[in-house]
Amino acid sequence: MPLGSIVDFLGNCPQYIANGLANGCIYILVAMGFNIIFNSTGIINFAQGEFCMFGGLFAFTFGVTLGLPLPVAIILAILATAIIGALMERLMIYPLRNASVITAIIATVGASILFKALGRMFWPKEAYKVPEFSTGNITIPGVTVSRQFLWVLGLTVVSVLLVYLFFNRTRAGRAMRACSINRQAASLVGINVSRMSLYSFLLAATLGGIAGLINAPYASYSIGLFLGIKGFTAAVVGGLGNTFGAVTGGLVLGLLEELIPGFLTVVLGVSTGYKDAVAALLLVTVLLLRPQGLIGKGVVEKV
Amino acid sequence: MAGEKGGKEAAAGSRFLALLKRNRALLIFFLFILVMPLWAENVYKTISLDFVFIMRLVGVYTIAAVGLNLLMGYAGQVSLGQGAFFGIGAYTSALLTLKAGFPVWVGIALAIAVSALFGILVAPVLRLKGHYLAMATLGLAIIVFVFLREMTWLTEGNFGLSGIPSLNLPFTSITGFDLPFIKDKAQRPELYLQFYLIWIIVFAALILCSNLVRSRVGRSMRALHQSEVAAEAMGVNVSAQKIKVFVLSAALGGLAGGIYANLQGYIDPNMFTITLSISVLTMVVIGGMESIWGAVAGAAVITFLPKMVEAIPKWVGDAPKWLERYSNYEGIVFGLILVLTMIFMPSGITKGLSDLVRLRRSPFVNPFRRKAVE
Amino acid sequence: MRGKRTLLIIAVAAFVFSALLALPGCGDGETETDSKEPIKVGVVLSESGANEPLGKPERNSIELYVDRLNDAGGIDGHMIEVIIKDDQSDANKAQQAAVELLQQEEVVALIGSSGTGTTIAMKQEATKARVPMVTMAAGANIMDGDFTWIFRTPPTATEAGKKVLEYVSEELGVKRIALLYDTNAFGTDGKAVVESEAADYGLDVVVSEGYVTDESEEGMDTHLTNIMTADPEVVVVWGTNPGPAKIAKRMRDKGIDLPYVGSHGIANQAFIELAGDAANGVVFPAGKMLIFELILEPGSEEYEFIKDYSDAYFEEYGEHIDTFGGHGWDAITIIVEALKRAGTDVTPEELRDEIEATEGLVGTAGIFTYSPTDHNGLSPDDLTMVEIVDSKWEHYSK
Repeated sequence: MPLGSIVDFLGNCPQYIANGLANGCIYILVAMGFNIIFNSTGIINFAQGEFCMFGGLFAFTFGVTLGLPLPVAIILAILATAIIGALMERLMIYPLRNASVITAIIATVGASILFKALGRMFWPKEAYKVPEFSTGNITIPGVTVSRQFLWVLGLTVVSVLLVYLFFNRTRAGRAMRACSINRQAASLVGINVSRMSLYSFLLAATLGGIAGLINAPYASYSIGLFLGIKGFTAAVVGGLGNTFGAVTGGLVLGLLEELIPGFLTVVLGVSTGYKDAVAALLLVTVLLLRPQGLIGKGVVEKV
Repeated sequence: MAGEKGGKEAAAGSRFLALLKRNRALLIFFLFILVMPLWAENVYKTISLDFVFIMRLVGVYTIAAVGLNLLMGYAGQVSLGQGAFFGIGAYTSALLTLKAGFPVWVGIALAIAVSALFGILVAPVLRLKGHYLAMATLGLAIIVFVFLREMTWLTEGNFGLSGIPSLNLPFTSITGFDLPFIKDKAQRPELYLQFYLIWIIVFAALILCSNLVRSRVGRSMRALHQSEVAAEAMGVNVSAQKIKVFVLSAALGGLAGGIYANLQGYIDPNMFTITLSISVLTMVVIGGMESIWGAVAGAAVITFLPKMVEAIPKWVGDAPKWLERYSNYEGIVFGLILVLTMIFMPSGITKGLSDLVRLRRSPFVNPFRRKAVE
Repeated sequence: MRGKRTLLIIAVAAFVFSALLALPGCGDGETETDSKEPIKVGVVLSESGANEPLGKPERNSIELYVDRLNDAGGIDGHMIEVIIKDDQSDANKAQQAAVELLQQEEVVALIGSSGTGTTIAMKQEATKARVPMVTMAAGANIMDGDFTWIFRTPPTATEAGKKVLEYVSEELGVKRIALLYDTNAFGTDGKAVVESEAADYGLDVVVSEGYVTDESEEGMDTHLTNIMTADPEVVVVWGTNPGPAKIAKRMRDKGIDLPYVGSHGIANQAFIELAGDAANGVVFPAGKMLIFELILEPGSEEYEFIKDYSDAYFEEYGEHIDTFGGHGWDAITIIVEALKRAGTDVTPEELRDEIEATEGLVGTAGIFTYSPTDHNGLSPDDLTMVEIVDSKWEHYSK
């Protein structure tokens, strides 16, 4: 009864789309973090996922262990993550500012392992429950989403807008964009490139912390690689370095990740243990077929 | 006839001698490995550090690391996917020897072939560079892991494959031998056989790779590392060279995996996650990216490190409890090694240390690299 | 010529190094005159890596048991010495640890490991060395092939799966099962049992879907949406935290009014903490240990055994016992009891025979009876269905 199952699938679609949107928002924030650092330093920060890990775990420490009011805990968690990002830049990226790509890759891979190990050392349990911003859920026929979903959506939209304004309306933002176009030239016209690199890590860690927070209520030390690979996929799908690319990429990945397994199970009746390969498959496919991303226009191989 | 044959043998022998003469470090290391079990048994009894046992693994990882080393150090391409080739090799050999009843060495040979084939299949990713290539290979590693886990009709998924036939001498039923000079009780025949078999393969791989980096191919590889554009202009077929190195590195990864499966007797997909790729990467980084010897040193350091730390309490008596549980901070050690090495010794720890003490004739300095400079 | 000199120096250095290392071990010379020779038992656990939550309570329990035993004089004046090694949830390291324990420490028995892959790696060595080994892992495939030397303490996925199916068919009286399983080893183990045994209970697994435990609640929502299309009558979730908690919460949010049946993987306080209110109404199989005060008669042998363990554990570590710690406690109990019966100068072979003769031995997970054909020791009756009511465990009753 393939027709019936297709009808079922279409009936489920609103729910898949809602779920994909929620996950997509988190991917967008992680992807923007990748983009900002890539633009101002030319480095892909493999530890971006670990910023999310810290965001969630700090929220647990401040909000539950120390019992601070939730808004305070959230702000402190984001601040703490931003400080880790800044420390990482000063202690590791700054000394490597003239290093080769290969060196930078390995160093950030090392940072991600280090962060994860620290996370495991201080937060050893499989998962921690962080209080939701608001509980309960909203149901319209065919779709049920949690109230938390509205926060996720709202915070993502606000973050994207703020990042957009920062890059287009502020001096520091424009300076950072200049760095992304040509670092040497930027430096020649008096932009402090090293400070821009610091700002970019601060900003990326902040976004990562927000992503980790809204990805909570369940925080754990193992979430970094999981979110990191998805955020990077989103960034590549949209076109590395492009803010609106991150939005597109995050949404495409979020939606495909729910729709493809849904289609497999409901229409084809195939078990979907393959769900966690969707992001990796999308990543490799896009890199091979359209490395500049869906809406990117730059070339990958710069000489 | 006999004379001709003898002549050939002599020629081969002298070629081998010439090879050893060129590679003094190799010769010394060869002797070191040859006599190792003799003293290692005493170490084992004294401080319970089992060199023979661990060195088998060091050998396996060395093969995988040499492969990655060629790709990274000489061709300048980062891969986070060596674990995937390792896993494909392991599963190929395991399935063939376990389910199809192939002899162990045929299984391992086919493991090389299948991994190399997979390397050719995914070679288009080499059009990417730098970060893009690193991420694409990471993606490949994840895909391979998920498929090994989910293709239960073939791989049994998470149940893993157990009872894989163990390494033996090809075409014989010999599964071990005793060593002279060791008291009967301490004899561990299977272990010695596996140890020597693995290290024969390691030496073969090292000689192959060291010849390769000295050859025309090697020179063009290094050119690639310096500048692809310049290499292209000098008439090096860049993409063809890159693919060759990539496939060779995949084949070595597969070889290591094939041996690993038959050494371990049991494999499951969780052994071949991204963690393995990063371990191999760490080995290459520690050893030094432009040194074939780096692979040996890196594999040895990473494999021995936990054992050394665990053995500390036995040496110093009362060590704090947290120190005994190395696993508590293994990630911190790994991460710090990678970060600090990149900041202070980007050409690798062995190279960095020898530069530091200006031991120009240190056996760890890659002889080929020096020649290239001279 | 410089090369030759270097070569010479290195050769000499290597020789001296070898000679130094080859010196016979000094130290360890002091002999304890006031006590008899200790009996060595080797333990390999996963104190880190994927199976970390299992390894830690197991270690605590084994150490506690042995300390108490030795304080009370050991076995006929022989102390028990346990040598504990961490395998980091890595099969290779488990194998290496087993070899070290067998060859250097010459242990009379092995305990280990926490996980299935690590146990299989150890099993090969124990079998080769002909030393009995008691595992705390539940994987069905551990007993594949020659299981002469290996014994098991936890209930397997087979027993737990059968208990769940029995509950679904007899207590719930429904037929159509939707199965959600973690794609890790624990989850796929349960999936295999539920899918293969369902027909025997007249049940039908209409849909089964794997998830990753790190997925968000929304990701879990998609899995639930998928399985609901198949119109099931009960949802069986096989996994360890936090995945099942996310699913429970989402089911409640979506207003899915089907019974939620879990696995023994959520038999811990963490599940209730993570799932909050949504944990209420969840039913899962567990050893009697968790709710022994509710279902066992005070004064009965089982009650007193578990009470003793629970009190001692809480006093020592300030934590409540959990199932995994219980498996460690059972493993060392089985070995010590066999040693008591066989005498202290026993060979590993004799000890194995004695363990196999274990009959009606009370442990935390149930009553152990081994036989030459069954080295699992427990039966489905040793499990009980537990329901979460008001965030507390209760014995399930209609």
